Amino acid sequence: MRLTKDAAGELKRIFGDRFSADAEDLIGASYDATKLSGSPAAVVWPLSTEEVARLVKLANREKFAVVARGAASGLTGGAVPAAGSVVVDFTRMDRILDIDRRNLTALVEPGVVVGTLQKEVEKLGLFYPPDPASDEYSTLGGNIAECAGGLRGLKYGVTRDYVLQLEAVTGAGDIIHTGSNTIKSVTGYDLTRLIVGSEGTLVIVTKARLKLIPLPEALATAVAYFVTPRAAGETASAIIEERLLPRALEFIDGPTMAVLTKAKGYKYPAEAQALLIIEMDGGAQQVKVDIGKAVAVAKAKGAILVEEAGTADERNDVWAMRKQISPALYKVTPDRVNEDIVVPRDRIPEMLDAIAEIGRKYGLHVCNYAHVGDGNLHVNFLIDASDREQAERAEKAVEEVFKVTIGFGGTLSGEHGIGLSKKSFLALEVAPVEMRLMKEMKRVFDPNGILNPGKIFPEE
Amino acid sequence: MGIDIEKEIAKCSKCGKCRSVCPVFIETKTEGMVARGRVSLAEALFAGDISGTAKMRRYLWGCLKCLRCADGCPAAVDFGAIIGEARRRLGKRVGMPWMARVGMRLVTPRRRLFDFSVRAMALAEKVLPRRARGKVRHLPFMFFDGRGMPEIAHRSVLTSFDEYYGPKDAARKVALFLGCLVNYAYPEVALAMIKVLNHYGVGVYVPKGQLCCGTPALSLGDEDLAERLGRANAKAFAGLGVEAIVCGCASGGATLKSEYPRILGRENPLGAPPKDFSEYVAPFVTDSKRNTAVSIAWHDPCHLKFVQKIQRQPREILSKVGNFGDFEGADLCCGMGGVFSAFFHDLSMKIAARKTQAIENRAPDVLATGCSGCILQIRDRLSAKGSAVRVMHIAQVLAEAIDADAKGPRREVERRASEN
Repeated sequence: MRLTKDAAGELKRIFGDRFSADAEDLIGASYDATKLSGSPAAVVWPLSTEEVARLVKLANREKFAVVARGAASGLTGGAVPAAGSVVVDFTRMDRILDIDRRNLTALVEPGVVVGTLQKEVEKLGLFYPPDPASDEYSTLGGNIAECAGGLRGLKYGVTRDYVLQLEAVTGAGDIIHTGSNTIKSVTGYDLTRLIVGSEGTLVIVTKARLKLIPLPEALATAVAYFVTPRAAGETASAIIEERLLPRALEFIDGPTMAVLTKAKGYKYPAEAQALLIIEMDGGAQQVKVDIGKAVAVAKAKGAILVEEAGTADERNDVWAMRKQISPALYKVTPDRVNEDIVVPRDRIPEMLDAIAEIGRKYGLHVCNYAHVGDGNLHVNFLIDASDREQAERAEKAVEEVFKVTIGFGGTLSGEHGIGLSKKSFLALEVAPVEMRLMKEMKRVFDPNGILNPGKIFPEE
Repeated sequence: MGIDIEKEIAKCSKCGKCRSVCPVFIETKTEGMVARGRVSLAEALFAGDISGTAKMRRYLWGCLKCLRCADGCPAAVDFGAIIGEARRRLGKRVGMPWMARVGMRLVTPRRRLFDFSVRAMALAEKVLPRRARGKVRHLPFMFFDGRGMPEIAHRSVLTSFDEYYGPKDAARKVALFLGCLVNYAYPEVALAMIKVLNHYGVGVYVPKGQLCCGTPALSLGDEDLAERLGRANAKAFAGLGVEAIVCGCASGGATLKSEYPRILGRENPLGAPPKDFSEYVAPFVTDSKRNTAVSIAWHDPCHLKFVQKIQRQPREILSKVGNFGDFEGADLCCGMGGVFSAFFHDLSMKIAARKTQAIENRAPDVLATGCSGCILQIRDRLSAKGSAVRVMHIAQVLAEAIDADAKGPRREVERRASEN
């Protein structure tokens, strides 16, 4: 599949100066946050659904691939374009078309940055909960394609829980409308939920109606320190067993804390080998009661110190520390392999033990942090990718981590998707029959295999 | 001290965070116009995968060098070094701004020629018919299309000021690094800085041999010229026995602090540490009689906040001497970016429009800042909108407070009288 001269000319007619085949723009459309890259043939910046539909129709006629792109901040290569493809960059299609305060919804174009929507709705006392770490720059289109999660998954769910309706262009070039502008709907198959997380392989989303909820009135935050990661993991389970539902329950392990201390000067109790950030939201009185209960649980489970963040500044400091993990890890080694496995919450302590064992076996520096409330563990092997031997050891370690994860009844990806980087492992989790169903589904939406080829499914 | 550029490039994890802060990207929504894209372009350029086309020039020169991206970069990529090196290499191949470079090479190292050029420009402005003035004024700066350049001072600081101000035996002494705009257009800022420093018992040298700091040369990728200027400045400031080189211009200060050690190949090349004006005086400032009728806001110059990492000190100073209040957008870029505004006038204006809107929403009586380039741009853009906000250098605000204190209660009486 490649772009012919005629096809390029036709694209130029459709998109005008919003079409480019210049090397400078192709470089800018070639990568994502995996640092993998592809070599597209052209890039277009659409402003309407109709333009996207015309593009995909042309692609079917001329047989070239089409790859949707948001901020390209994805971590599994979802936006890395196939060779010779046309990249559809949604950066300029970024209007918030409507915020409906009566029905609590927002209608957005795919290029809207998540944080921009969050700020706009919060001005009205409303709340869009999904909060991937990239929310300052990742786009809603990308978040929908990858079903982005975030810190608030435990209480508020993930992107798929907030998508009511989609307007999209199928691989055949048809404009479709899925879902309903209502909370309830069982009219036919739920195509919306099928599309969310499909990584741009079934359709290209051009508009979305998202669900909003009222912004919680108050927050209460505490940090608890533990001598063992296991105690922290058990505390997380015990808090939920207590029928408390924190908006965030974040775990950071000892090695990660050591990196934060070394790179950013954070100070922790000397014997602490794990910490939990616990945050409650809700009514002003209720959050005080809830955080009190959570603190009591942490102490009962052996927390050596519990600090409550009483003021907004103190709370911001806690979250700033959490956000410093990524920058701090880069100070240790130039690269890292970051996986986002999920296991059932109560298996977290065992999973941490298993990861530590795998790290030892392959002689790798491991740092773990987790949205422990929803069982989503970020396993980081810190490596220098230019050291081939070390990189290979990391690859083997990752495969073992995946196998253990599946063994614990977990899943390969909580919020990053499969893309290119995990596709060779898909069969570990997805059995042949389901795999065949998925592939057939792909053919129904995209008969000519135009959309984002080479993703999700292992090479045959 | 050399920076391994290939290593810096490899550090970029391509996460895309720079897209959320880059003033140019926010306007253009083009990947080639944001740090991640530019790093990738530089990588391809250095690897020889791509040559210097017109578009390449646009993408690599269309950067304000505000360095917000580097300030917030999770991987701590030294983007300033990468873009500098890319411009240097690209400049050799395609020589984009060669006219500007030739002019700059000719004029900036020669103080008398520089004086003469500026004088000639100011004179031409006066002799030519009024109608044409607006144009003549920026004839030598064709690129400043539609911008009101500041009046050229009757006499520049370096031709009219003394070499030293203050008691000969002052316990603390500093040397002032002026910057070109203060020297030629805003001598009152130099005066205010001297006045404030003297007030706190600090003796002030104004070394005559100082030249342009080299920021524009670096922006144009002319490292050789920057090095020549740096060496001349090092000579001009040598042997004064001062405790700091005080600079009232955020961009100049940023260059002295973070570029000089690299281009001159040694630590502390000026013989004393460069300090921003507000950074140096903040510890001395005491509570003044507050003139609460005047509300003051602070504009964060990019090169102060994101390069020198200074934002607390000016706010402390202003809270002590006036009715200070922060505002949303205090750190929005003004869009000046030195030579950026020359080559990307429309973009510069768009970026400035966000700034002036934020200022108008806040509507202070005085907007204080610490960078001559910002003062030029914001004054011009606000006056174009007919705004009444006074844009002042923080030294001028401090100098006024000191004057008010000296006058004592009389001022209060005057104020009441004017209210009645």
